[in-house]
Amino acid sequence: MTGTPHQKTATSAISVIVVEIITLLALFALQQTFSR
Amino acid sequence: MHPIDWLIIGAYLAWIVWTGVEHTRGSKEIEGYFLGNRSNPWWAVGLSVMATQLSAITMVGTTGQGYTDGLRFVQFYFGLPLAMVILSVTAVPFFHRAKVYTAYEYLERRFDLKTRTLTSALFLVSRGLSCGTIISAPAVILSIILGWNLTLTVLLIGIPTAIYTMLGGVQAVTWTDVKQMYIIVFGLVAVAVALVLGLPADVSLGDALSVAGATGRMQAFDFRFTTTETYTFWSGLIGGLFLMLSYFGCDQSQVQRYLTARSEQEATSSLYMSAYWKIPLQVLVLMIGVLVFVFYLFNQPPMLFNPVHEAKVKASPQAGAYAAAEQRFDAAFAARRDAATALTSSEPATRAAAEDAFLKADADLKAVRSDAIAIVQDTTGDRSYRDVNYVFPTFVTTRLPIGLIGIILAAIMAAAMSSIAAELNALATTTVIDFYRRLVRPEAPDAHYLSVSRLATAFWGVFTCIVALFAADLGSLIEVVNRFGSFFYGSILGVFMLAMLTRRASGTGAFVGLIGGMTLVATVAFTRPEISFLWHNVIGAVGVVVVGSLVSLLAPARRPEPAS
Repeated sequence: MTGTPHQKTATSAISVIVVEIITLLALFALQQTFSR
Repeated sequence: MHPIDWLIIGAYLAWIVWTGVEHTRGSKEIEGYFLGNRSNPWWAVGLSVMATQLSAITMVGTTGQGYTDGLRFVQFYFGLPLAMVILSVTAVPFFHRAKVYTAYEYLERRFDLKTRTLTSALFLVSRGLSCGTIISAPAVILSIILGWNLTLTVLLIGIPTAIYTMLGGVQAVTWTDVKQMYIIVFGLVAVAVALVLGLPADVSLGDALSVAGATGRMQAFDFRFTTTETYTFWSGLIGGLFLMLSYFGCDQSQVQRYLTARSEQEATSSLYMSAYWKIPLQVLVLMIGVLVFVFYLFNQPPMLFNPVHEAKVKASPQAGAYAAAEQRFDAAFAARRDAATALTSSEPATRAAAEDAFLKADADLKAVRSDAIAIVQDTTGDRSYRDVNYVFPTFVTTRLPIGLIGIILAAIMAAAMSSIAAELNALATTTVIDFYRRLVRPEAPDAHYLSVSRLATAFWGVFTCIVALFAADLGSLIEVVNRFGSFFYGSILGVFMLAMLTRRASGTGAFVGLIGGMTLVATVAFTRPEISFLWHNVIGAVGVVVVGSLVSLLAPARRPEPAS
């Protein structure tokens, strides 16, 4: 990864949050598919 | 148990102890012993962080929660990724640049000795006690499987762990954690595959999850904003955020893991490994519990999962009532199995009716189980009796094939030992660095501190084994551990927030704030017991920041220190 340390930190932080949102959406989809 | 399973467990123990002892070489001076000379790669530190958090309680208690309540416990971890992002720009750079051995050492540089001593003492008390519950979970399982007494099984887990931690220090802990994490993940995936393959021929995985969903077990999200429900989206996101900030940012057992990283950047990467993988891993563990529930829809479960209590009841005057309950249970199981089969093969038009019939059959079976539990409670006098922690071990030892039993038991032991080792290592570090070297003998050669550190590790090993013997009979162990932590966690986080986020806070402000925060949590816990313990973390942290800031304004430090 290139860029200043601040840019790297920001990119990593955004990646973590995006992945969490995707994970929670997937979990929500699983719930909606199989729940009553 | 088959000799092959014994062989697997024996090989695992030998491999782990050997790995630990092998790392004794790099631990000849105190920085090597406690911090591995700050030389570890991010992936090893990341696996060590995950292995430390994932204890045998996760494998036994959380699968049990999946079995009884489904996926909802996963909400507890929703704040974790956000906590890691915040820590990567606060605690990680602060601790790495300060070149400290313990998180509490930093507090003396920022505030004063009394604040450091109080927070490190709180850590020793809360972690010393919670480490006992971490040992007791696998010890209880082994005592059931082997029919040995609990003291022996506590020592079987505790002694090898204490030995390699004592000899090899943090390097032994980190590199055994890496291998233990491989075993844990392999074991979890293997048991999940075995459960899917073990479904009846005409029941697909989708059918299985739909049946589980009919009982509410696939409900992972609860968006109600209530402080009385333990696990909701909001308590997990907000309360969980504060808890995880405190656990990963202020608890020496985790801080010490990433202080061993080669650089600040690698320490951050190691925490991000948990941010990415913790929630999926936790879903896997809970899903195993859900699949065990589905397995027992089609295969007869025991009425109660704790054979020791069952044997006590059968030898008591209540034996007749218990036998009658067993007969009713057999009939209720057959009815529920038929209803579950009807549900999985139902057409859309008849599905609602099939679902209602299944839920009624499930409720009938639960009612019989409740009667049986009441009989056990009457017989044993233990009103808090629950068998949730026995579900997974019973399934493993009675339903899995030879070989896999040994692997899963080794994985449970790995989960326990990796957490215990990190705790013992951190307890010893805090004892030596924050108390012995700071207060008792400040000037001594490294060799002396190294000997004292090994003695401290041995002491905490014995202490936690003793606690484990008393903790074994508590209810759902995972909640016990988290409750222990929540009395202190939020308040300790509050002190670090004062240290890192404001330049005005004084030592006296932080100290009084800490006592104020803990008093507030204790008051809330005892006067409003209905408030979920996850919110205690928020109350404690906010309480410390408010009280600490006010006191700092009234009694400012004579010469304010910079924040870093």
